[in-house]
Amino acid sequence: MIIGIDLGTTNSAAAVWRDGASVLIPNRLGQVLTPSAVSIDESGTVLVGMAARERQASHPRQTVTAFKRYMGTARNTDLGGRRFSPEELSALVLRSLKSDAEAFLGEPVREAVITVPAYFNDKQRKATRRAGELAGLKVERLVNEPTAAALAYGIHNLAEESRFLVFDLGGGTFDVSVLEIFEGVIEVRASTGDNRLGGEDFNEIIVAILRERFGDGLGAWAKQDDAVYQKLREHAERARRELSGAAETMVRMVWGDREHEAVVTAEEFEEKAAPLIARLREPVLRALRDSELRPETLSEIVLIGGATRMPIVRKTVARMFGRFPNATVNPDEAVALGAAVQAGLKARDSALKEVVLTDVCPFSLGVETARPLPGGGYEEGIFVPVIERNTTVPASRSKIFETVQRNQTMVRVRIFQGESRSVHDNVGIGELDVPVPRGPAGKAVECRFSYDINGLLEVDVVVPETGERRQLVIADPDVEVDPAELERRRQALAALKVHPRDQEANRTALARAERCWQDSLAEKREHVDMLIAQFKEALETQDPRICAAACETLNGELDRLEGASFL
Amino acid sequence: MRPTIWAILGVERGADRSEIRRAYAKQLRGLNPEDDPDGFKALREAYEAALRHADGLAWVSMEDLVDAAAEWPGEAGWTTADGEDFRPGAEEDAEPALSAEDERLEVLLQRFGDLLGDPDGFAPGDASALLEEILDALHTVAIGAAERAERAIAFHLAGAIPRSDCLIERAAAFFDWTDRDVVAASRDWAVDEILWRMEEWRYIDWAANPEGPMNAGWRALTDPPAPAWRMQLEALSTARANQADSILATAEAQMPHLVHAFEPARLEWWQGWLSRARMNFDTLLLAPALLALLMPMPFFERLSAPGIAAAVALSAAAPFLYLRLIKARHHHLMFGTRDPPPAWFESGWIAAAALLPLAAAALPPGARGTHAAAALGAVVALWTAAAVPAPRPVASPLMRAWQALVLLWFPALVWGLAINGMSPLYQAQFSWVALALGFVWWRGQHSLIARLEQWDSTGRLLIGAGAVVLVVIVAAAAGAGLSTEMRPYVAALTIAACAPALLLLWASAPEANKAALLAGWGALFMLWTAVSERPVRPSDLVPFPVPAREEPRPGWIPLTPAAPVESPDYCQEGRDDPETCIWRSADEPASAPSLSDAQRRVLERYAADKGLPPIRDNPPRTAPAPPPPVQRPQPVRCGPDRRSGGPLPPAACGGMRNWIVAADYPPEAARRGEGGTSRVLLSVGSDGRVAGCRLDRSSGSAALDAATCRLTRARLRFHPARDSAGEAAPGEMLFSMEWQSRR
Repeated sequence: MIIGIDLGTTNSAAAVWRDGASVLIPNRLGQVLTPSAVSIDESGTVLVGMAARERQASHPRQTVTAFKRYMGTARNTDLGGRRFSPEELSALVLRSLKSDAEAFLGEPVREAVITVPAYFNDKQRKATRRAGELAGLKVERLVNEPTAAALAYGIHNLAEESRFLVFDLGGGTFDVSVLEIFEGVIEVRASTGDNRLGGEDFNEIIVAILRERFGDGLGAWAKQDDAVYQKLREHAERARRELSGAAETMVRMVWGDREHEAVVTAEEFEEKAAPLIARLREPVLRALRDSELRPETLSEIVLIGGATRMPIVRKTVARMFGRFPNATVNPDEAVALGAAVQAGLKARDSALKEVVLTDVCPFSLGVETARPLPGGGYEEGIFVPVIERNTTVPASRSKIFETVQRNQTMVRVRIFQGESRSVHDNVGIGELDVPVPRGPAGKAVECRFSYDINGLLEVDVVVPETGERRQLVIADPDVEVDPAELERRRQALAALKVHPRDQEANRTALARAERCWQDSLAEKREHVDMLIAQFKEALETQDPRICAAACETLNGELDRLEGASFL
Repeated sequence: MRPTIWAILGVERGADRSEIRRAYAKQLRGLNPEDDPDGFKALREAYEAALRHADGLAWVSMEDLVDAAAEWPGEAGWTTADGEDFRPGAEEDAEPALSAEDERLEVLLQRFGDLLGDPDGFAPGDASALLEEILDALHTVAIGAAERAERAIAFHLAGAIPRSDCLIERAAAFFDWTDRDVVAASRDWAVDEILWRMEEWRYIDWAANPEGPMNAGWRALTDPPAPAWRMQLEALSTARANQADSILATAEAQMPHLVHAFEPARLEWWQGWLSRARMNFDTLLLAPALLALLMPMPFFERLSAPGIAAAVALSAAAPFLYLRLIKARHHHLMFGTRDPPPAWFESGWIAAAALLPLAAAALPPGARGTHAAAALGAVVALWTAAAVPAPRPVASPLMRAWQALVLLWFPALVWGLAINGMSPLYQAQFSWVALALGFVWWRGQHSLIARLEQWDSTGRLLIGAGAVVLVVIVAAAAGAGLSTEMRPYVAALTIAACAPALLLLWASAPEANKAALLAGWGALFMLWTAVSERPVRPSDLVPFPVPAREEPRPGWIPLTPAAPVESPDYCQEGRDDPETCIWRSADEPASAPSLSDAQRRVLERYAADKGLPPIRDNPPRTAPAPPPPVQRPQPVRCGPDRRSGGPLPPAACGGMRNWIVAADYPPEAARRGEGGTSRVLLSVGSDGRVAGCRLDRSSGSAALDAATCRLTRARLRFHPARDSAGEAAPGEMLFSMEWQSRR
């Protein structure tokens, strides 16, 4: 059985294609979304999901979220004395989702389709793939998130020929895709985005507002303190959600034995968010330009991603297109549902036999070149694309380049991804050296790029004169590891103590109560203290029924105190 | 041999888009990107190539051409390369195969470029013949080749200006460059360059036209310095757009007597076609702004329907008509060949402007529309007069100051009349409108001031006299119709409006500073009106004391009657029946006369008119109710402390009923209507009494906080805290008290 996994910045979800439909897989808490958060408690046990996220404000040093933003980089996180790379953290989340899926399906799960933001580059994709392997999953496919979301939407509208645009503003990334459906073919016409723009950036804006409001009340040293930042961020997230439905919201935050209060108005938020909103426009325009479609010919604008719940985003989209976007798809779940459809396609499910999906490569891939200047000398660092962006994949393209100097013996082919003419503004992917025969300038070197359906790139360089052939070897020790090392890391990860599945709900409730204790003062704090004591007492009985009842009581009581918990 | 794209897709060569798409979808079932990546790549390749073919591009790919060559063997120009040469996806590399026509075109273009690029060997006749040949050839070549040729021709022509002047017109006409929309044209710098060049010709034409104003000025000179003049003409003929200004400046310096002749030229040159667009924009801005100024005014309530219609129509039509007139004059000035606007148009326009105040005079007396319309009419008349050009400039500072005064005074007056006594919302809105109008005026200032400068002495006398009359009329209207309250207001506004104008016109500050001054002035007013809670008063504006408000005279109804039911200054002598009308002077004591039926009807009509609550007779006086009995606070009774163990915080006692009563509310706080929750930290002694009280969170009122501490210390008793041994011990607890004022 192949499952589809949406590995998100804030939340992750899993779904499976079953009986001709996508079904979301609930986690151990009965929720469909699992926060992408990892925490390590005092005993060295790993917590994933809601329990970890609840600990974020109370134990900022032992908890980490939003690590997807650092996928493919060497940025490690220190958790409880152990260093974790972003892919290892992702692997922990994936493993949690995997065990949920196994419990739900009643059979072992070994294969998965994982979604990545369309704008993820080669390194980030490879890191995601490794994360899957670390979690013990064979990654059958990496699907672009907007494509997955569009699949979830389009699979019900296969009959008529249509074109639509998917606007996906998630927790950390922003993607735009233009799709066309005809004759049972779902064709991605163009995919663009900004992989550094998402709901988290909007949270940062509220954090900045709160910082300004609270001012020195937080203490001067609080400026750099991670704990206060995590607490601010949590409150900012809550405030942002409330601002989606109200004109203003009151933020009450306990810090340093004092309760800080601030009113944040939607108007203020929107004003401060204007620079972010402005960044939504360019990718949309580019997607339309690349797909050679006029906005009027689109039949729908589909909103995906939790951040599109913000009225300001909806307003912007409506203004951009002069009509109301389609918000019928649940923005949090669409990507996972689409990943399950892709899993179904992959598994040749009978209900999907007539459906073919073609995706595109969302960025240009090319090499660095130098050009002789008329007055002598060279202009170096010019990017020449070999595979243009929004080419349907899989695709192979080749281009012939020439040596620029006499008696050149070696050509260094540096491979870049990006849209800028200068390679310095593009992302370097790798490089390789090819020997060329000595002689006058102008020796041909053929570069052949093959971009496969998973978005992974292969580069072949051939010197026709000698028949010398080289394949790309990525020389990036930060992210590239050999299989033995990978296996060792997998073992190390598997050796980590994980909190027992059946006690996850209790742990989550406890973590939440502890956070609530921190967030309250005086009588309320005493009340929470009493609740925690009662709950721990109930846990000591080790009677599952008593535990479940106590857990429910505690959650109910906490809901009453601080409003319902959200994902 | 490889299969052709048509074979891969399984369609006939030359199939249309929908066929190709259907075929592609069908083939895709078998050549799925999942299972057969290489097969899919080939299919996709073929699909994209076929779509390009269907879109009518002249060449598809080498592969297709191979196919074509096989069909027509021996056709000249086709490349019969075998499949090995073809590299899928390298379309950029694959040069389109050249047909014989295409090749000939390439050669011609090459020759054309060489000819234009060689300044010594350039012969207009040859070049013209060659261009014709090329243009002829374009009818038979492929679309792509024609587009490339167009770009090449534009490139060569633009690079060889001014040599290529003789060819530009022909090429522009052939390719429709002048009709192309601005955005598309600006993408190609060469075409843009050529369009600029053609714009320059218009200017050169104008300078060379014997009927044009420049040459009229020229003829007026007795002793023309011929070589200098010729030099200037030459300079003009080679001027680039961005150099025109400096060339004209040189001309001014060398030939001061020609300044006036150059003046309109410079104006036109500055503005160019851009100014036409700007004027259209101003029209769009001005009309709604004027409408907005008039529409929500309260005086509309009292206008008759035809009056409203006339005011709306006039205010909407005025700017359009005005700009129409200005535009007509522009054309006349610019080209010298167009007819000036007909005389009837101008006289009709001035008559309409004169009729405006007349129409306004027909409105009910006292209404502000009178003043607004009169002011509007005056402005329109003034502007119309300003639009009439005259042959000489005026540079006296006095004259400039006066111009500034009249130009700023009227908008300021209209604005001041409009916003006084309105709600802050209206004030803000109207201030914005005034600001917008200010900017519109500012944008048009160049041409306006320049025209004012051109009045001759007679014209100045006439305009000056007319303006004085207008000022007198408006001032009289203001004096007669305005309440005393408004008079210093208008005066102060006039001063405020003129001061910055005087400053900015006398000081030769750069344009930006002037604009900033004006904008800052408007913004200050806007800010002030927006934040002020009450209507703007004259005392806000003038530093000297303002005389007390006089009682309104009969016939003048305030726009915002405060409580008109008790003092309906409604009766008017000679109009209303004194028998049925209630009349009361300000110093009469407010009594409650019983109403006769006739009086009641009048009052009810008035109330209904104003949307006020229905009139009732005063209620019969009744004896005052006895004061409620004073409640006494009950002492707090502490029952036995049933808690066990320890440590424990202090706890409230059970019997806290009525320990605090209404009389405990601090009277000063009650008077001010203060309320809120005071939270205090109480130190509870081991005897259960409150030993200390410290404010933890204030209610916002010092009186309430003090009372909280005073009352809790005096009256509250608690179960004391306990230590770990269960013994009573001192402790602390938070205590909140909520004060609610009835007021």
